[in-house]
Amino acid sequence: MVTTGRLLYLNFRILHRISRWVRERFSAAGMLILGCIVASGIFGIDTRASLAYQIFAITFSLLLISLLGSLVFRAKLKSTRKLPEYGTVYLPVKYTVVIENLDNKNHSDLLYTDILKSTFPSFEEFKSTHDPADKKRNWFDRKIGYPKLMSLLRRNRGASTSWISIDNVPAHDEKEFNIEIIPTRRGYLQFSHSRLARPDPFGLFLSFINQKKQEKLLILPQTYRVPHINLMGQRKYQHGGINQASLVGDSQEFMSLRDYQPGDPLRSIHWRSYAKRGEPIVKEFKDEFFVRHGLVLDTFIETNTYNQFEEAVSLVASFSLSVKDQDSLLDLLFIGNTSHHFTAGRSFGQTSNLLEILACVTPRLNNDFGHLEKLIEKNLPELSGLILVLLDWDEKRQDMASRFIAMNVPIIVFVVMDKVMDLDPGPLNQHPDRFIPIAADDVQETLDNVNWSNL
Amino acid sequence: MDTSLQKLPPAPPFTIGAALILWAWQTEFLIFAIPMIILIELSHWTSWRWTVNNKEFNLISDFSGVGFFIVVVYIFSTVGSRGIFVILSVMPFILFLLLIIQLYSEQGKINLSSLFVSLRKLDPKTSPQADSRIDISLAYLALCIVSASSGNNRTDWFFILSFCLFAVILWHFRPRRFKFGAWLCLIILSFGTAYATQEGLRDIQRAMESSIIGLFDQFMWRYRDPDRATTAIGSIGRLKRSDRIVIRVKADDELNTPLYLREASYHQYNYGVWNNQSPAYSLIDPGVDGSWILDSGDSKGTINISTYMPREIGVIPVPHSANRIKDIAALEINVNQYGAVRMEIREGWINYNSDYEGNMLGSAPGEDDLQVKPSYQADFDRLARELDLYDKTPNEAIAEITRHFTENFTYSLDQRRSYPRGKFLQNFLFNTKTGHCEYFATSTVLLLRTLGIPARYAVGYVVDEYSTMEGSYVARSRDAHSWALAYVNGDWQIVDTTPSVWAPYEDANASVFEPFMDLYSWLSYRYALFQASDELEQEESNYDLLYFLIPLFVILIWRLFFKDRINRKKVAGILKMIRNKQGEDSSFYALIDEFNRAGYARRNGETLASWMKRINETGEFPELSDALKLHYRYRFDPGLRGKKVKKELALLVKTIITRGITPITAQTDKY
Repeated sequence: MVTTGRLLYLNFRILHRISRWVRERFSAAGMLILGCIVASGIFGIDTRASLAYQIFAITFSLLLISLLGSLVFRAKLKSTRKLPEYGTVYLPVKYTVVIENLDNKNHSDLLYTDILKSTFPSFEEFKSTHDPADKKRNWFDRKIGYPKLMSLLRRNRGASTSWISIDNVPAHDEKEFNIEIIPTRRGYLQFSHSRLARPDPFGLFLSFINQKKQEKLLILPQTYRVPHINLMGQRKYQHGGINQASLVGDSQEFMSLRDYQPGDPLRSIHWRSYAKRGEPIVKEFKDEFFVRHGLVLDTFIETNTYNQFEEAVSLVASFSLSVKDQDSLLDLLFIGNTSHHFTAGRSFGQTSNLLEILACVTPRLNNDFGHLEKLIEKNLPELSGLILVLLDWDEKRQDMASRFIAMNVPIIVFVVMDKVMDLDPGPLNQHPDRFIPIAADDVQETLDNVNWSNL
Repeated sequence: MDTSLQKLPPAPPFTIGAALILWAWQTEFLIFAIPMIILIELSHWTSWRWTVNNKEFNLISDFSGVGFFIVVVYIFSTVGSRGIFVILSVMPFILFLLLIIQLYSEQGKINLSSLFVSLRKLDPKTSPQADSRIDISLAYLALCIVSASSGNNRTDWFFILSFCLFAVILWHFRPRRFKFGAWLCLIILSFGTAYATQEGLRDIQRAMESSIIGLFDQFMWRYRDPDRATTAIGSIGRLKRSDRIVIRVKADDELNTPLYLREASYHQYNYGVWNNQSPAYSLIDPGVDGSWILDSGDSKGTINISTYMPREIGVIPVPHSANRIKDIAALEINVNQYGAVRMEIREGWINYNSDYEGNMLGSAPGEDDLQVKPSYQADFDRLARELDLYDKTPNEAIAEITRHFTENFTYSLDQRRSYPRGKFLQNFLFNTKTGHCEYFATSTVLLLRTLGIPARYAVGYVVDEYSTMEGSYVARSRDAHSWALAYVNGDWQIVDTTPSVWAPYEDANASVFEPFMDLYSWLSYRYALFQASDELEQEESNYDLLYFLIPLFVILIWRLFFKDRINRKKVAGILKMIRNKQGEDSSFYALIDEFNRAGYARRNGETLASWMKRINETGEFPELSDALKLHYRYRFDPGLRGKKVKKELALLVKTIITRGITPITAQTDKY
């Protein structure tokens, strides 16, 4: 049986297609003429009652001639995009487009835009997703859900593009111009094709040429202003010593010489002793102890609370940027499709690599939270402390925190919530400063009010 | 992708003025249009601008919205559904304030969220449309043209002028690659197509009307035709009538019995339709006291009746023995030989007094009033014999018929089964014995005629409900009734054989919202009367709605000028400071536009200084570096010499531009 919700969804889908067709094909003036046709069509249904039918006839004929005039548009034009390596959510991204005219004649009055690939949200996605903007919508919009569906669609698309006017591209010449877009979500923006359009003689209707040009642009997560966190945990012994921690530099502390053992790196061979003794001798270094923080992202959500998860990702991204590479290591731990563990700092990897990873992390709707706990426990011996960015403060998460506390691992817990709530620090009762609930709408303000020196 | 109305260009100068002239000519609002045109067109010639913030834009938009709502309610309550064209005709008034504020605001555009309340709370960062701006001048122009079409002043000039206006707009926004000749050819082609289309639309309507108008007239329009009444006899399903109050009656004394108000009488019946074969209407001359005399007899009493006229001409409900209509400024009153009173006045609620006497209105009976179609004769003869009516006097027969119907028949608005044409009444009389008033009245008339008693079929309303809220008797749409008139002892008398349960039965079907609807109906009725009394004192005017807007206008002015007066000074000072700092009016931007147009694209991340340096690599623009310095100075540190710096900069920019910037295509290699 088709439910009312599904019926509405199907209607919205049709409505969206019609509206997209209209928005793509008509210029602003064309849309106004279309509005006149609809209005005069309604008022002019009785030709005796008013003269609106005459306005209908005028606007209809203008649009008809306009439509016929737009049928012929042939042009050999080639477009090339020059995309930057990255963009960041909500920050303008500029890129350059070059239009090349391969024809023997000039082309003028052209319009250019890039089409971004977007999948229309499925009914299940539409039903299950909670749109944070719903709080600010009126009852009718919330109940019907069309604005929410459009918001989902915009989010899937990632950014809006608009027409750029190109006055004239001379024959066998090219024209370069800049386009600016503002990404509204992290992840890859997928450019599917570029579109060149030309209006008809009346400037009402657009005919266009599509060129398939698939390219991707990675959008990094939004970040907040946070200080460097220095947890009071011990420095830990790092297996493999400094070689594993730092592949360049001369900060090694020499201890003694010993015989070569299989598996020793070649760079440890002491060549002079080798020459003297005729068998390989290697240099032995002092064991390395230094601070290595674990940054844990909770990816487990029960409902599709997009905003909450995005803010958690932004928070983790902000902490990644706050790491001082030369002093410590930062391990990012989260569960995506599989368990993920990345290390940054002291030449292991750059924080920009962490941002790239965070740009693509997706939430998990199932409840196998134990996987994350196992992943952390596996890496715990090497970690000095943990920064946990959680999406809930339920029993499972509290148990996990208490276990870490019992193991004398210093932790800071950030719980990103949908709205402001008073939460009991539970196992962190002894260190209430290290338990920081954050409302998704108000992240920066909450971070600004945290007394970081007490942590 | 976004090609939406946000990119709507502004209306070209004088076009809104021209559209308003067209509108004023059609709707006869010339006196209002002149100041409107002056104010609108003056905005192109004056640089005076108003600082309007988003909050104030919202306020004005809300004001226009509330104004529109009031106008809609007012016009629909006074004019009814045809008021839609009145609403259309006043639309330029409603949006005028919004347009003026836009034209004279510093921003020059209205925030989209001012027009759509739902956008106001959204975060512009995640919903960019919440912060986008729109120019409504072109939309206002289109509205004026559509609005002008409500005037219905039928000359070809309207078509020609409207087309010319559209052509001017299109010329202004045409793509530049087309030559004038080609463009003109297409416009002429469009003109021809449009003219043929509008003629075609008229012809299509004419053709459709001729085929279905009869159908509509018969089944959908419930307007009372004094010469023809189509009954629901033979219809299947449930009759549903509304609770809407259609008549209000004030009588000097309390009504002891239901009051029958007749609208029309008919004498010929055939297959569910009553009609009058050759109705003759006689024109009534008003007396010196303004009353309309229907019969010269002495009046015995007066009742006051209010009714709703759906058209300018229609029958009015009057008591059967009405002899005088008075206290009404009717244009014309006619009466036909069957007692239907037809009045020409205006649409809407009307109020009049009706005197009544002893004798019933209507001509003496004729042969037609005894006619029974052969197809019905056998049935009614059978019934008359079963009831032994042939042996009774007329009064006895009427009493017996009434007893028979009221005791043996039931009232129902439902008809479940269909019967062959012509057998509806037979089945009613002998099988189902159930039906609504039209069955009873029709059967009674035909039975009386079978007995040789002249009879007619009457329709109207039965009034017996007293409304304490209104202090008068009311009749609802569901109180419409039909009954028989029998000519006995030299006069017509009412014979209502419908079981008396009909009125409570109809009441039981009343809506639960009836009290609220009654309150609304009474308020709109009172307002209509107030307006009507006003009209007696002055010429008919549609501008009363402006009174509704006065308090709103006062609130708006107060909010704009006084409420935030203290803060405004501070805010204005800060804004002025910010604007000056920004140096947004630097003429250097014009130079940047020129370079862009010439194809000198600025690279990603390139500073203005390095871009200018790259442009001037060949030394083609020696003034460029000085101009940039002045621009920076004017932009970031104008100090006290701001005006002078601006002037010097403008001079340098002018020099560069007038010397000419060679397009990049000619010097690609260099660039």
